[in-house]
Amino acid sequence: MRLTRRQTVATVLAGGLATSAALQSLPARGRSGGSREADVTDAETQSLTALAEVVSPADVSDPAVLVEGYLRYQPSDSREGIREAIAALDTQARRRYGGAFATLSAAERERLLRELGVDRTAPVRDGTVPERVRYHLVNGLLYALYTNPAGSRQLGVENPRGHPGGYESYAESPDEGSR
Amino acid sequence: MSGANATGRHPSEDADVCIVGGGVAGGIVAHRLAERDYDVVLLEAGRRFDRAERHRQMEDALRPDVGGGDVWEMGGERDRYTSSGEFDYPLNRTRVKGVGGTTLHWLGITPRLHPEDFEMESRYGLAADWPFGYETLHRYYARAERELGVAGGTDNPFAPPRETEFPMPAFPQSHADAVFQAACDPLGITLHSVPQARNSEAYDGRSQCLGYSTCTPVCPSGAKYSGDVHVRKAEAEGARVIDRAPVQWLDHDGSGDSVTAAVYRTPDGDRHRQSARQFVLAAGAVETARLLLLSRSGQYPDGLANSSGAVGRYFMDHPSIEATGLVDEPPNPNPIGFHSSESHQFYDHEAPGPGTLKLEFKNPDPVSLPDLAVRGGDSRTREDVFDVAVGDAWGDALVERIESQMGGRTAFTVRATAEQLPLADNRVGLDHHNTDDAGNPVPDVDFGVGEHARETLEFAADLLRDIMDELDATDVSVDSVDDPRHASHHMGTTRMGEDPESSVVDARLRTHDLDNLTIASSSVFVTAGAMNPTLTIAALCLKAAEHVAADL
Repeated sequence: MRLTRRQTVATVLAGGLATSAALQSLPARGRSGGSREADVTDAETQSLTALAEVVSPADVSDPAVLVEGYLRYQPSDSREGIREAIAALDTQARRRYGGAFATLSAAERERLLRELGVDRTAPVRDGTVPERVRYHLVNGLLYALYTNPAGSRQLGVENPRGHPGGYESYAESPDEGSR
Repeated sequence: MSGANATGRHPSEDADVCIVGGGVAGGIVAHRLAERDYDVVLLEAGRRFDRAERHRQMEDALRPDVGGGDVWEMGGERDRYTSSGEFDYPLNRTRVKGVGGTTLHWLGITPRLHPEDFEMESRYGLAADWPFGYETLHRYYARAERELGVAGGTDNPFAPPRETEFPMPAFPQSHADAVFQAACDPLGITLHSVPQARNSEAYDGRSQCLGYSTCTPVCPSGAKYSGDVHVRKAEAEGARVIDRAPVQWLDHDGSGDSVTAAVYRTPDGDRHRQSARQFVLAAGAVETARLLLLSRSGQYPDGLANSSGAVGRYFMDHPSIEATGLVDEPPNPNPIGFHSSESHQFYDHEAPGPGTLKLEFKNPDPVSLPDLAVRGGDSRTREDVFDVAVGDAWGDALVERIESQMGGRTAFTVRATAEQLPLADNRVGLDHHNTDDAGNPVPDVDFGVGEHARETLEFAADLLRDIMDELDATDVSVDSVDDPRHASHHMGTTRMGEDPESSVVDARLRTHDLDNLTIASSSVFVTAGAMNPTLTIAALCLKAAEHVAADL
């Protein structure tokens, strides 16, 4: 099932709101720091988006928005961890399936993650390849997803903790919620 | 024009004022004096936290798989301490060192003290009176509410008198507040809104609250006031701020009448001397007392400004207990990081017996989703590599797993915060057997609750059980009064008073012993009431800044 048009618009708007709010709250130095996005290449962003498609529920139609939002505020050391984990994942994808992670089918991507043990290993910032893929990529994306309405809405929360969806939503009655 | 006459971490020449501590207190004093064109140097032990870091800090706080401790980096060698009293006091969870200080992780609740809090001895024969009353602090309170940006309502029938509106309207009541009020009606308990230094609308160049719901430990939007707001304003007015510059001791002149320099340490291990005409200590009730004790000399063998022997004594916090029970109501549909109802009904008491307390009604938020979604480490063995029944879920399977964990009754929590009387044996001292990263004795917090607060907590526990009964709550748990929580409100240790024999500072917040040393901190509180202290700290700092300016 895909998002309805209205839901898609709401998701994109929420992402847009998050962007503008985040930029407003950043001092000039932080804003210019945004150029560090260049640290993560388009190819790497594609790999991350391909992974986001696997770890997101099918109802989330545009994981690229999540990926961009997540990368935007990562400091350089975290970006480095993300880049290295993507490189390791791509190496494994080529070795086992003959192509970069983003070129694999969804089923192949899922299978590769499980073959690497990413579903069972503990998340470790400086650990083995599966531990780092778990920490920097899978868990980072799950965090981005469930602190965003695109993910939280699946569970009936419109404005989850970690998302700047306005303070008024706490004062709604439960009947006004999305359930 | 920050860094007007010095570079890096070297001292400034010809400074008018040296302020120790860059939290809300130091920030306000620095701003008030810098805008009057005095040459101000502020020394802060912790580092600057750039606002651009706050999203990352929020992620660290929300992700259960991120280790590394406190997002404000408390707890290293620099912050060692000893807890030697009746309770193991978790000092480093109750404070932050950094530009902005402990307000970087505070909740932001800003009530005023009540008139009787200033007159406990003359009204009730308890503790001691402040050297001035509520009416003296009244105008400073109003100014402090504007400086911090307080959202509040006039619906609190128990609030002390006020002549001005709050700068911003109160935050609205939640669905849960109505549930709480319905339960409290039969008990005759009235709920009302909560004054808080959080923008309910755009204010002072900061946005309105954006609803990240992570007020503690970090507000990424800047809608919650923190002390770095005033530090930045002070810098814009020309004040100089040196971070990562913990002050080691203060030197005084030959007569012992004046402080001559603050000796601080820089990250390279070097020591520097900052001279000034006036010195202001604004390092909170623990480090301010510790610094005075570390600054002992031949003339002040028990610590600087300590001819009374009161430095470090009368340390107070607000002992608190919570009751939680499962209620047949949904949680609020969306989370928020603060509470929107309190009751100050049990504040005004004329009869002897249990002391003052206040009730806080927590908003029952939906569960924090990263807690359920961000996993890893399912190490169960599986028989073949394609067995998907084992291992952590993601995608649709994760949603199904979380849904299976949700629902049911909702945990509702009420907190009672009690007044604690100043007790001479509750004290911050020095532990000469343990040292920090600079080789200085660490603070030793010797802390107990005392009979008065204990009696108050017992009264509060009955009250909380009554509220849980009216909520028809099941699985009710009430904290033990023998092991209360602490509100992270450090007070006392350099108490104010008229008598130099029994107090450390006078009504001008200047030490009795040294004529150019002011203490701008909750350490000067004579009594604590049951109210969060920060607005009173801000009001006192506005007053102290006027006196320092007059002396300059």
